[in-house]
Amino acid sequence: MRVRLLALFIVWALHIVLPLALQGVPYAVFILTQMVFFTAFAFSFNFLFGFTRQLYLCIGAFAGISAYVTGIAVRDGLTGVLEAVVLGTLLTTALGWIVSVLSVRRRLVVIFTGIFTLAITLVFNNMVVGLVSITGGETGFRIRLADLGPLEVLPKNLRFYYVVTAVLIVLTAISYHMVYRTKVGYAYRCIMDDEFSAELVGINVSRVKTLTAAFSSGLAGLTGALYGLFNQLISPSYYSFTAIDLPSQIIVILGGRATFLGPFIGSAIIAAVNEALRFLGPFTQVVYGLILLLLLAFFRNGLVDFIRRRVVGWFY
Amino acid sequence: MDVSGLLFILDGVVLGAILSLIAVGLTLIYGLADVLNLSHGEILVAGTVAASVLLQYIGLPLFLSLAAGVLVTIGAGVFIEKVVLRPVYTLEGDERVLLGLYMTLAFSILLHGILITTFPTAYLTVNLPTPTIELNGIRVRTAQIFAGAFSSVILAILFLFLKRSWTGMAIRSLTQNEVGALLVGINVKRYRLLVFVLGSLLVALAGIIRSIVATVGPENGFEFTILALLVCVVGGIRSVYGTIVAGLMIGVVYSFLVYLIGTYLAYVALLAVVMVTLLVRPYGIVGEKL
Amino acid sequence: MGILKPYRGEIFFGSKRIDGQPTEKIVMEGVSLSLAEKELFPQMTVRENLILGAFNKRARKKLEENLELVLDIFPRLRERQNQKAGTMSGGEQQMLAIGRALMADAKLLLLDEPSTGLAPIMVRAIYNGLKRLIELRQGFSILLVEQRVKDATEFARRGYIIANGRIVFEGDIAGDVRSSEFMHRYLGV
Repeated sequence: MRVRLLALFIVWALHIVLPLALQGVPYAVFILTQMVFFTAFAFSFNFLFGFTRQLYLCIGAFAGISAYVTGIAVRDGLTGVLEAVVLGTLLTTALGWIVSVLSVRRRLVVIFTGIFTLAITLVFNNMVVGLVSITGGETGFRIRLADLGPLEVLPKNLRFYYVVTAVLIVLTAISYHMVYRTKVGYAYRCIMDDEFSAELVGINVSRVKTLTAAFSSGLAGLTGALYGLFNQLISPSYYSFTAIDLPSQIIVILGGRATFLGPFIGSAIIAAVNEALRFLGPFTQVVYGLILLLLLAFFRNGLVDFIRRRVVGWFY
Repeated sequence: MDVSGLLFILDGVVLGAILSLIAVGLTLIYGLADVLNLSHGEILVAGTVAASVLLQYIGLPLFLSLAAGVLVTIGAGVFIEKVVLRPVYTLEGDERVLLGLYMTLAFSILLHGILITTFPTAYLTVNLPTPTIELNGIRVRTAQIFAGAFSSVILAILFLFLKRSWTGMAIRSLTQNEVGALLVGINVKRYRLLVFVLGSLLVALAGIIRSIVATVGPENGFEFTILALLVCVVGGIRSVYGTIVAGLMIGVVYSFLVYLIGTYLAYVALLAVVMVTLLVRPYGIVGEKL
Repeated sequence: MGILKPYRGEIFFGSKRIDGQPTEKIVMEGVSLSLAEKELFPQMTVRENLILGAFNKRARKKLEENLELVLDIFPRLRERQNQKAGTMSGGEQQMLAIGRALMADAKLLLLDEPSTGLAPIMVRAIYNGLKRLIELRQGFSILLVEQRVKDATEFARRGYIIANGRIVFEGDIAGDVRSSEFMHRYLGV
């Protein structure tokens, strides 16, 4: 347990320090910023699927919905930046919550939730492309660099980097405390172990699941809105299944489901792999498929688990 | 109803039959191996790409190219069963479904990547030497009618095969109770392979029939998979009969909707139907959970 | 039957070793099993379930004959021929499971606790059916695992008692067993 907490602290510390250290290296901060965005997306998926077995294949769509709402609000001058982001986040929180309530009420099996949320992703993609007049269709639309207030002192990449990192650290700190130190967290771990028994013991499984879904969807929405502001371009290709959901899933599988370190480590590895494979160009997809296959076949429980078993074994 | 209305129904029926052919393979595989084969559409495309390459660049006669394409698809299906899914068979229940889903998804991505980068221009269009006739001033491609007839015949044969033949009954029994099938002396491994072969054959034929009606390109794989998945969900993911019926229904309704409100919104409407079905009758129009 | 692996030891059927063999080979050899869990095909009719029982090549030739036999000894099944197996009661399902095992034209029929969880009237029907079976058909053996001593001993000719995994009695059972060594062993006296 101490090891886990220590590792988490180290990761947080690295996240805070690294970009400052690497400021000189061209492109490095950009990569790191991309990385933390995907860490956030991965966390969203992890809380949903890793912790409560809700297979949401619409993280990208939620992120996209929020991004489009925020983007349109900013572009058309409907609200200020902050309000727009909040709006987008609230919207996805509500959506995620509704989906969870429906699934739980109808007792949808994991795979059906997956199909249902996949349908949501498809709806999102099609509506965005179809409603060209509002959304700019396939090409999307650009927005000006948002005014982030006091953070203006930092260069653009760093600004977003620290916003997202701050969100991540606060989030993981709170959730970690909750899961491992409180009664609520205890309920969580019971559910993860055996949902049926947890229900029998009196834990309100539906409430835990729906609240988690709302929370994770909110995170996806928040990250999505920030991602949009960061890229300054809101277009469907940034929020497609292959752009967001797939990497998030790979990260979670790689790093280990239902762990707190998992998304951090997984995202770091994926970011590195991405860069390393950049020279492949169009072949990257092939390699990704291959990597995923091998991963699933051999490291089904993720690297964190693998390391924990081998390395921690040394300590005892 | 005038001829143009009939035309739309024909379009819909042909599309529906093609969807049914693709979706049935998916249903059979899911019923038998508890695996949702997300690379189903991709192997269809692998076949059409192979046929296209042989046809265009090597100049093989049409029939041989198509036959080769079918073999390629079946080969891919066998590869999935024997290699890709090996780690999946050691698991049971939910775990198996999930891992199977991911493994086939990964394979689908891999295959898609290979096809897109190696054969980006391998489009397949089969032009049947059949006439285009004129009825009341509307031009009807008899090739369409051919496609519809051909797929209906295949579906009918499939249905009879499953209902009457020993092999067909064995397959059905395996989708209902694997232990029972074992007790009766059915070789589960062999039949699992057979179902994959059958599913792949069906999807390959669907690809060919589709290329009679419209061009099939190397990037269409995932689209086919999704459509098949939607049909399966509405028809009942374990029911062959339900899937066939759902395929035809969806084909007709979708064609009609495209005419009414355009492609994008029609697709959205279709998705909405599927989502409602999932909530109201997760096991499809057939409805049984057994 | 090839579904479970033995921890230790070997299993022979006649002179052939069958442990480690795949199930379908064992069925071909002439061993057929009916489980207490039934393991039927719920969406198929009674008739279809029985027909599938004759899946192995040897049994297919005698399909009609065996089908008649099964429907004869279990008249309830004849009544419900076209009913889906999953909609029947526990007792009827058990009859169907036994009937299906019979369709395999086996030399050795293994019956695993056929009376489990059934109402007495159903148990009666099943054992009546079994008695009728051995009247009508000879040339094969039945290995019956049962906890209902009375029914089992009325039906069987030879008995084995297993306690803690060991056979503690084997011998012929004839007539009234109540005061015999068999009962002494069974009650652990």
